[in-house]
Amino acid sequence: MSDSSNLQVSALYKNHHSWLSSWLLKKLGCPHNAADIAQDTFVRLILKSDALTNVYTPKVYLVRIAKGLMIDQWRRQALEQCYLEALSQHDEPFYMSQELQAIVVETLFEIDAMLNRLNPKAKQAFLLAQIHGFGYKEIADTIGVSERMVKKYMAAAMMHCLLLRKKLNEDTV
Amino acid sequence: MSQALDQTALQQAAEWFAVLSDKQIDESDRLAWQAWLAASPRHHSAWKEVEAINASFNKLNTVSSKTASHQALSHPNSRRQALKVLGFAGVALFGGVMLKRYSPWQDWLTTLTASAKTYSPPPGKTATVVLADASRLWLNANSQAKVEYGLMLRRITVLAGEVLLQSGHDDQDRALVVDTRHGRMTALGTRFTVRQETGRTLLAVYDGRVAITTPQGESIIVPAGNQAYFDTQKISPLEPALSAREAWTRGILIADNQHLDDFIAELSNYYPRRISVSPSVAHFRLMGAYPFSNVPLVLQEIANSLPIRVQNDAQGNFELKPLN
Repeated sequence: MSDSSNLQVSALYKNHHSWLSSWLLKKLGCPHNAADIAQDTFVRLILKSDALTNVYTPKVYLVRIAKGLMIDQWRRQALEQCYLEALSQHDEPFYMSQELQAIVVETLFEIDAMLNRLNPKAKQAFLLAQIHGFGYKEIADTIGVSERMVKKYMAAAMMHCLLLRKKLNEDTV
Repeated sequence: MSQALDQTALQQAAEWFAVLSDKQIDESDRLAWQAWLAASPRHHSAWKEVEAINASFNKLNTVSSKTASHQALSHPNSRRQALKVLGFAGVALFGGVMLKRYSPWQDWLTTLTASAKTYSPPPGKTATVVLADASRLWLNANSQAKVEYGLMLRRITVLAGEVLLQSGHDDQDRALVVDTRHGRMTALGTRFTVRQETGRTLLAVYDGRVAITTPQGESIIVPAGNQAYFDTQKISPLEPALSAREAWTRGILIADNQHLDDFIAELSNYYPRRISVSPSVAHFRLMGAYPFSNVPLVLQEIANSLPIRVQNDAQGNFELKPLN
């Protein structure tokens, strides 16, 4: 990172950290969580320092990052909760360590983010194949479409993931 | 790495993935896939990406209960849900959707997943089609439109003539687009007509807004009450929309101080035989609203209001001539 963008970040921090924190506090109602997200917002900003040159409206930009982080946090928690609930409904108990659970939640989060905007039926087809190892005939019977459609859903779901991955790679380069 | 990741190779990789993910795979498919893989380093890079995505699932499957992962992932934890819970309106999402450039992969997905249906009214008639999302599509006479509702897009392609579209609400939030050979129009909750002419397309918006994007990447949002012509190169300035333009959906053709020959050219669309106009009367101007379900009657009415006479032959062809 260049010196000039360093300067830009510290100027942004000085001017905007306090209102961002209070805005987050109002949204989240928890001072610790608000402080964490505010901090993460600036970390994200530093990582994206090349984008800084284009920040004409820092408030909008910071709020956008902070919102993204809050959404991610909410989704991680929601996934974890769903996962644990599903586990508790199992006939056989399924034990896992805290570390393993963290890995599972993170992996679920990554996959969920990938499949997020996918058509629901395509998502179901993809999950049944990728998680349960179902054949197309079984998937077709389960979700009520033709086998030919299942194959199209599979291609579409994979392409969807591939493009998100591609975009992610390009963004972080 | 990323320079080798071209779109076509990724698409092919996704299609191969779909061929190979079924339980039974033909040996010939496997051989064909291997040949594809060996054919280019681009194919190889693309396939590595497919494997990376599979790897996330493999990781999940080794450490986690299948049923629980599936349940967690099937739950609507979506971003939209999060926005709602966190009390953000849909604005942030909408901004991104609004003026999207051409994204070829959405179109690819649409072609892949939609069952295309082409509509055209019987000769000389208009037609109304109610689409899956309750959108209404009116087709003018001699028009043809292809409708494809796919995973990412609701896509209507005007193959010929003119349509009016009143967009319905899609519970999957897919964008609604209308393509002509001159560009793309994206509906932002609306009622509008699209007429494809030889060298250009006319868009008239009556309700809501519609975004036009040309293949050159030029774009503009046309608000209600306005119309614009565009071709592949440029978009003309906005002008007030003639509400008369949508009258055809009610079976009425409106002449707004139009030259007789222009009006007859439009009227001919609703008549299976020939209607010709003598050059000496072609320049007469006409005003009025005419129900085109009865073309001979319309011609008679015109003859009553202009110094012309109508002559017809045994086949039902008409000719408009000077009085003497």
